[in-house]
Amino acid sequence: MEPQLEATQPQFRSVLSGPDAGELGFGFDEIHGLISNPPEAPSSSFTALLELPPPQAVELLVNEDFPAKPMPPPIFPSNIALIDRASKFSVFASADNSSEKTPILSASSPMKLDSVKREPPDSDSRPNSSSPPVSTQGLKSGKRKQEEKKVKVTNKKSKKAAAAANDSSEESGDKLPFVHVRARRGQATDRHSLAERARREKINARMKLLQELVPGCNKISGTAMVLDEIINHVQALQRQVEILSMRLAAVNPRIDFNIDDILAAESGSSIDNSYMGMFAPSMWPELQLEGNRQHQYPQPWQFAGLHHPSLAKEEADTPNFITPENSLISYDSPANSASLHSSQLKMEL
Amino acid sequence: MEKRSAGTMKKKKKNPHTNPNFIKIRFAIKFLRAINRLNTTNTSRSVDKYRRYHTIRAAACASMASAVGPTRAWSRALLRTRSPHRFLANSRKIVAVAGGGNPRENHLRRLVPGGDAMDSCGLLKETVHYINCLRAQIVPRIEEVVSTQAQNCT
Repeated sequence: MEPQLEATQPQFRSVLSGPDAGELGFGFDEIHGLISNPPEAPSSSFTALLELPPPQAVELLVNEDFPAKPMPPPIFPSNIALIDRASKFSVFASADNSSEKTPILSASSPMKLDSVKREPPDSDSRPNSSSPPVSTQGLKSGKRKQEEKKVKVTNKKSKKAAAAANDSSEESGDKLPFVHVRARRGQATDRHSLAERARREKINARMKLLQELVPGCNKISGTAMVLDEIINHVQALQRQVEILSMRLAAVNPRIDFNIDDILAAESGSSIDNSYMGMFAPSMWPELQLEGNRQHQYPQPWQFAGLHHPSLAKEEADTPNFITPENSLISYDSPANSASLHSSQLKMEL
Repeated sequence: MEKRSAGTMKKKKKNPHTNPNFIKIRFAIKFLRAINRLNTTNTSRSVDKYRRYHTIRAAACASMASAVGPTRAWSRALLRTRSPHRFLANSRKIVAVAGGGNPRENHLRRLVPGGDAMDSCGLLKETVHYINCLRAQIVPRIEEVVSTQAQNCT
């Protein structure tokens, strides 16, 4: 533990030298005094410190090496800067404190800060009264006590802080590439529940996307029903694909594909119309025109005629899809005759 | 479809792999080529209707999957079944489907190709892409039938 303490000691110094040391009333001697002062007579501040369990204190001590965050400028008197620093250390100790809360903390509640101000003067007064030798044990305990005290106070306050900050920080947390999920108020903060919560939110986000994709899912609330709708929709789409391929199979043998022409047509008007413009409406007039024009192929176009009203709606109307399918199947033999007929026509042409 | 999704799914539109227009065009080209190949090979024999239908459907799936590319899990699964020697079989993590935490999810897994080896999170994502692609398949097919018949008339 010794090298660690050595490392923390200069950091403590740098921490204090950031803001004016004079305002704090801490000299280095006083720091050492504070640090090494054994808890002889329990005052109110120290008893509060002792309530904190040791592992948390050790954590605090360990995590003091982290100071990745810049120190806030001491707008208020320096005690508050100390509190802010302490609360930052507390971020790692308990996950439900956030640095975002501390500005709220420092800005909003002067009344509570007064009570906090009372406590540091207590600790300040203590080292002034004594001048003991430096001991590593004392360093650890003293710092721990000071930080713990601040942590405990800020813990209480941050729990009372607005829940809106929680939600907003939670929202922003989700957008980071690193998944930072802040715990909401009153929720468990261990690793498992955090990970679960992150996962759940991912799933909810994807469900929202799916809801927007599937028509008519916006009104439905509840995951189960939405999933049902999604499943219906996927099944309907797959069935549509099947129907289309059956159609193509029925029509297929007589088709002589001229790929170049078709590709030219694709890059030209027809496909552009269907892609750029509206999904259904622009296409259906084309189809209907084609169907009307070509009287030589009555039966396939009767299929098309049947399909228009059902497919144009595009709400997952499964019964509508079932009936064209039935009609298609019932048309099987005529489809055969249609293909023969069409091949005859092709030969005639 | 573009109108409906314009406000909400901008993220997807930017990605070329999931952009519906690109997929449609790629799919259309591959599908037409496949069908053409089918036609040229099968002109002589009068193949049974159902077999033709099945081959067309297989061609549609395969061309769709290859149009999408191996970026998505379900397309990988489809391509794996078509040509097993092409893609190395990934170590499929077998999610406990039989345990049945959610019966609807299992249903969805059965529907979406390759859904067995995915956790719920990835499953939903794949479903979204899959729905996009199915939509991309359906629209131009009718168009094809129209255009080819129009061509053959003239």
